[in-house]
Amino acid sequence: MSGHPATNETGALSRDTYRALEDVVGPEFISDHPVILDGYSFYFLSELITALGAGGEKKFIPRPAAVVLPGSVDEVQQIVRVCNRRGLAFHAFSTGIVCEGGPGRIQIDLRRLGRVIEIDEKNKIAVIEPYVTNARLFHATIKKGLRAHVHAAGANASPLASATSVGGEGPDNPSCGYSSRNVLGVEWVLPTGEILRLGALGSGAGWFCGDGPGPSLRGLMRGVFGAFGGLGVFTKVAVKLYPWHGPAVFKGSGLPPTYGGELPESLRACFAAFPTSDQMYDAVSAIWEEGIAHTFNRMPRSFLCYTSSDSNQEAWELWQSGLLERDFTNGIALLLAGHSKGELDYKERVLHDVLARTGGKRAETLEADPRYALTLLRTSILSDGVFRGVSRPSGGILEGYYLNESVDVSRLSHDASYAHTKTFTDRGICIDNGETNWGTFSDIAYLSEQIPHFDPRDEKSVQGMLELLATSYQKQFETRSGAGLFANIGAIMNDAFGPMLSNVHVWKKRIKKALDPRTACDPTGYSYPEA
Amino acid sequence: MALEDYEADMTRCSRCSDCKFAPASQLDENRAEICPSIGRYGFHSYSAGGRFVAALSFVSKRVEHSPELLEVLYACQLCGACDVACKKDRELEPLEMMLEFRARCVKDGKTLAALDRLIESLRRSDNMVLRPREERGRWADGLGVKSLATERAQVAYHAGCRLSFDETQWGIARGAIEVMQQAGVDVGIAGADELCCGGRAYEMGYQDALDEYAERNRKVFEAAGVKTLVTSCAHCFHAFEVLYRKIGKELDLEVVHVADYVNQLAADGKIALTREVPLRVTYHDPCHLGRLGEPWIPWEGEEKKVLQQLVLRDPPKTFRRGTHGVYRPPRELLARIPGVELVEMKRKEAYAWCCGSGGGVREAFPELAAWTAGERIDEAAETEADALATACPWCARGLEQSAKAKQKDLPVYDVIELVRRAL
Repeated sequence: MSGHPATNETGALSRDTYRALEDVVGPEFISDHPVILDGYSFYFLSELITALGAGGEKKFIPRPAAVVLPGSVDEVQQIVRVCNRRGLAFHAFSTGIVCEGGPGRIQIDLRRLGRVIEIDEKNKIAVIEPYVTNARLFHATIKKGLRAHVHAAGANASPLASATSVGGEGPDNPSCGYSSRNVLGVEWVLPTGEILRLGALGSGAGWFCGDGPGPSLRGLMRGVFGAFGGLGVFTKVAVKLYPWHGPAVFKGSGLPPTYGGELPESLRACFAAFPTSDQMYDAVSAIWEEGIAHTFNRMPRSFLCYTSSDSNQEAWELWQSGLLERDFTNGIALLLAGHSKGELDYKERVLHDVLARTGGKRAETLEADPRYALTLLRTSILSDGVFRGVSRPSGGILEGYYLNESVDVSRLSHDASYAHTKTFTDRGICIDNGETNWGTFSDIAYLSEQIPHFDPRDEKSVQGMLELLATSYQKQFETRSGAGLFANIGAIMNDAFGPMLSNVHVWKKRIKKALDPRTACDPTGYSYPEA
Repeated sequence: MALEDYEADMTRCSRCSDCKFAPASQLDENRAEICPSIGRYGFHSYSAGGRFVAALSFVSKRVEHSPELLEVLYACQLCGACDVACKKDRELEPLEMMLEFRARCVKDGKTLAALDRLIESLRRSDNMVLRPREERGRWADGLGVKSLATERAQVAYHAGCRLSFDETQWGIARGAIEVMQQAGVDVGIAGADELCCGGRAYEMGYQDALDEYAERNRKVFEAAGVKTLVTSCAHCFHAFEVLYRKIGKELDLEVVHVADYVNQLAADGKIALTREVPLRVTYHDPCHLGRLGEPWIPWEGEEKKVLQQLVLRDPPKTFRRGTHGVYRPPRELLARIPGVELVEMKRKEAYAWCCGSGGGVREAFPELAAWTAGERIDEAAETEADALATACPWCARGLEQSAKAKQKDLPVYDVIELVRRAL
């Protein structure tokens, strides 16, 4: 460690430390001014995080000591080493939907690392940097008849962040798997500043495999949910590519806000509804088993209402029309894909068979209106327009429950949450009469999450959301139906819920200690090390 | 509206980054970004989302006025790309918030010296280009066009500050008059008595200027019995058509951009474009004509909620989402010119990249203006066009300078210059 204190008594960076970082990135790409720093202290869940005791004040999480914008992996490595030498904590993010971190950290904003480095058509892999977005990767790969898994965090979210560090589910899970399944070679700047290359990359054999020849640490790196930036900085990753059935250029020819467009002939949009949620879940299992879905959504009717409308007013009018309640209660929406009309016809016949067996009915009114097909296509394939559904209605959304489990366990969660979430409507939480559960399936499990809306501006609504979270988690534990997403995120929640989750917190502390002996990488979003 | 009136928007920004990128369905992976400010400076605070945070921080008294805050606010062309991109999926008003934030700075006496000089020039000489008032009408010498000071005319042509004083661009204004004269239009100009529209000052935060010039311009046009106001400047068009309505001083006449007007003349057979102009041309959408050029939609009301938290407006509010900008007429006009082949850039229409000259950036942050224009020139060159056409003298000047600086063989034309060649 340097003999000089890295920060002064107010938490501000010492000039000496500032210069050390400035020497790495250059004067243009570092700032410690409050106006800049607050840009890294705010996000729409801040009030929930600060209420949980993570520091900060209401809408702002703690301010970092400085922000740096490295332009290369070499610079990332040097920043991490400066932090290690001077006893500073760092935290990195890519496109930055979520800000994590405690006070005094060095925020590493990776936006200057934004290259699609390689699209290996033959081996069906793409190598990308952190600031590449879902949309950019999509448009780059479809030119070659391929596409990557797109996680549901939005078109401008980072596939690298999803692959290495955070969740990673999306409606295309059925055909692509979720992000944990798609990560291949990884370039990883460890909390100590060493560079670790995972998979085949670690033995100089290229990016094609995440598990060898070379170190295979995928489980340690991210497990199911990811370390949320608590285990270092990921600077490059290779992800799998899958066949794209549509055209090489996919663009609408219209004007905002929708831009027009149409469903390619190789895809079909199907909507169906069921008299009961039990029948719907039976159909989910059957469709999963049949393997016909290119994308799949167990879709709350409110989500379809918001995403298919251009404004909240339009959504409200659609809602009031009763169409979705009549035709899309207990609804599912899927895209079928095929290389030929025959293949598509076959898959559609299988779907009809499933619906006949489970009592489902095609939502013909929805299928007759192209806007629903276009909405489904864009949200499912490109994660485009997702924020119409999650943020436009009230500003905030959060998973009440979230689990990767069997369909039957998801059913338990659904039923348990349905029974109690209705009581939260008078606490400022927007709940569609129990129709808040979104879901899809992948090769490992059925993902189910409850997505109620709240208003970050409304204190009653924020408080209601916190209570809903606590109640949902409690019900899930009581019914042994899984654990909420937030039970796995962050040091505070992890310590609270770890004992109920096979002591996962103990293992995370050990991993943290092993990889980050100086706790140089901010532990707020992951775990403190073992004492 | 005051800055504090946007606090709900500040709080409800979800950091989705839509304000930084072209619409997901439309973007090209190599030209994906739409915001010059964050593109150049990198920190989140230089995006619309970041400015929401800065504003929230300011109204929460976490930060105070400072040179850094001024830079965050003013190193931005207010091109509106973020605004349209945000409102594709959201109902926030980032552009209006930024305008109010600037106005707050001016009200609090926290301003940039470079912009203060412009405003002094405006007060003194009624122009935003630091030139003496008496030079204003020289561009029209010898045209034999009516003077609105002494004669009445159905149509007024407004050259604007840039065209009036930049001798190298006089051909654009003169060309517009010649085309209209050839079509038999009863057109007049205010000449030396022409006034600034006030739009650029308004965007710099000096909102009073717009009120003043809206009033003074109204009197000029009313006195001359003008029914249609035609301008070559996208900023003037935006001020007359959008901002005057916004502040409740809508002109009692039709406002038309010259590209739209001449396109209609051609469609009506009033002019014949017969000469071959063998050029592969790419068209740059001026922000203030394109996405910002859609009519102002007045709204006054309050927020209400249904379904517990679904946010509605009472009465219902129609958001300006860039849908009705002036995108088509300049393209149609180019398509009417024999020999012109139009090739589009990757970012166009509502998600076009800015030329760099707006919002006071050309004057206060010339390096950002040059960088922004340079990006556009590179994008235009990727189309392998022979020339770049646009419909605003501010765009034309900035882009032309950039092409020269980059030593690109890419001449920049106003669409009217190409029309003249075809007559």
